[in-house]
Amino acid sequence: MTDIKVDTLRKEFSSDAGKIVAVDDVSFTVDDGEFVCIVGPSGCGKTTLLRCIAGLERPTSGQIKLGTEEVTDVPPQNRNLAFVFQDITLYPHMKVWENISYPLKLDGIGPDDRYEKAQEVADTIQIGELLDKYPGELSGGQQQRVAIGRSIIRSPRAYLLDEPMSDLDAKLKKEMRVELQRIQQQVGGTMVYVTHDQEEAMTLSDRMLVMDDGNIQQFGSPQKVYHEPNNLFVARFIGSPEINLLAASPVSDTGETVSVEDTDWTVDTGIQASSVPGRVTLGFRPRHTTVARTTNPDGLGGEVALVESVGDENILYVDTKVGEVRVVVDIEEYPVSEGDSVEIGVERSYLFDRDTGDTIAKSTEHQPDREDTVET
Amino acid sequence: MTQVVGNYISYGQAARIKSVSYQIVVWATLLVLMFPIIWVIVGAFSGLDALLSGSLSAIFASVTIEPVRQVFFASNFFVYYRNSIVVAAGVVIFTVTASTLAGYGLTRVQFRGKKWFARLILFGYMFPPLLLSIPMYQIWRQLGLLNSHLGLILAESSVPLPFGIWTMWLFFQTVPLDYEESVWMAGGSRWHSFKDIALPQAAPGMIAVGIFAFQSSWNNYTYPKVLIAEDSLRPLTTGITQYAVQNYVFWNQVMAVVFTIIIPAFLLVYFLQKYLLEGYKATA
Repeated sequence: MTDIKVDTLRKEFSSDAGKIVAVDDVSFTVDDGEFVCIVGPSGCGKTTLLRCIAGLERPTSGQIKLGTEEVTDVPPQNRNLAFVFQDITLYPHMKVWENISYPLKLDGIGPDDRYEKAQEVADTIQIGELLDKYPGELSGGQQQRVAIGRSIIRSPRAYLLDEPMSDLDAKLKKEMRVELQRIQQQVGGTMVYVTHDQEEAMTLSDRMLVMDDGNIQQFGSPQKVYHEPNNLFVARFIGSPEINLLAASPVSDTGETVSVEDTDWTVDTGIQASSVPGRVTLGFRPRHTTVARTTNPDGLGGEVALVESVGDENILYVDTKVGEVRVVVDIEEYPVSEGDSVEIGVERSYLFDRDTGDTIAKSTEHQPDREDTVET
Repeated sequence: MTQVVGNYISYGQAARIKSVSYQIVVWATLLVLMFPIIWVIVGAFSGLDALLSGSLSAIFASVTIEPVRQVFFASNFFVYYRNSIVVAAGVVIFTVTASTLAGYGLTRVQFRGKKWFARLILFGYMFPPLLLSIPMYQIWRQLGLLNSHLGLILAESSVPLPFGIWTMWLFFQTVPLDYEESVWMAGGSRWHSFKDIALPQAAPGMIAVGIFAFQSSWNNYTYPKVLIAEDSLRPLTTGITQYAVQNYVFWNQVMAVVFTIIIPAFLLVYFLQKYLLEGYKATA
């Protein structure tokens, strides 16, 4: 096991349209035994970054270190890393045990020993009875386990996983997530996991690395990234339903009260910032709100256009003068139906610089009694 | 009760009509295609005079194994047959090996002018063997490859090779790169990923190319005609002309030879047709 240090890593691709910068001078360190998710929209460079660490892409510049060893120019064969690919890549003409033990075959180990070792690994990932089947006979989740089995059999220095669960259905995904965490605890490996699914990243990682456009937007624990986003991009990308963003201007210098542009609404943010620019964006998460039914809302509010029921909660899509505002409320506490007029109370909010997108400040909690869970 | 409107045929009737008309078309086509082969078999077992008279009753009255016996025991038949097998095997091995390596290279290795190279291969497909055989004759003479099986194998391979490379190229494109990358991550070299992963998945393509190479060599007349003068080195296609003497053709013996020529090709295609179809699917 080892830590992974990435230092000013840059990867450019040349195409007909010119040079494309996939990874733009990125630096970070994954600690030994840590589970890090690289998350971002498609095309943000996350897979390229992972492939650079694996050695499947040659970086244009920069450095990659595994522990103390520099591996930037070491071919993938010699890095002793495990890689799980998006399309699982089980060899269709080999049985499960042959698939799992294929890395050992490359080391010149005989079939009997390989079968035994494959059995051992298969038992830890609970597919012991499938050894003599072909991949084509397995379900998606079982194939996934076999792929993981193949990656752990050689005790690699770290595990790299490239969206391994994107083809699984929602229920299976949740199961495999738990399974993956169990396996990680068992083998105690450093894991770097690429996904476009922020929910997956939130639930799996010790720390998550949010990428956009080849750059790191934020690197921190899921709680930190959710509650203290560095900028507008992170705030929008993390959390579901998406954060509400309204153009606003500060009424007071500290940003304690802001007025929503093109309306006479003001919102109390409770923020005490040292300096606030004139053009800001007010952000508040759908969960950090209250609603009240009124016949004639004079504050932030409007008509409920759509109610989406998700178990104990309702997601309300409220049509306001400045566009749609999403609100999540408890179904019993706030029984609201489509067509009702509501006024929305903001419990917690953020102020972003509208020009740079950076976070200026966040409000302290107004109602500490309301449990804030990271729901997605 | 609702009224059924207009004339109609039920699903059952429609299915029966479909099936019957389908069978008629299939059998009619088959009869047309098979007739020459049936005639070959009939001819191989009839007397020469009866066969030439063209009268069916005379032909069936003259049934004999004499032509087959003549061909088998009183001619160079087995020598020709052996030559054909040796050359066909050589062409199959050479073509499959070369097109597999070339197909893999075209798929996986980036090099300058790759597109042009691929196009040029198909360009080579457009020359008729007769046109190529004349310069080939001169080159082969310089190299001392005339009247040798090696020379004939190389020459005959030029026919199926462009198709073979093209097929293997397309086949290897169906093997996702990350399957091979997963081998590299596990510590295997490119040779390992080629041998253990890409090759087994491209096996149907190799078989299709092999069958194509076999039938191409088996039926090739031009190259042995031009490059092989020595009777003991002739394959069946040119050897068969020996059953025509000055102004006279022993048609029943020719038919007997043709009958034996058909058998291996038929068996090969019959048992490997599944792969042949896959090969054509990939190139489509």
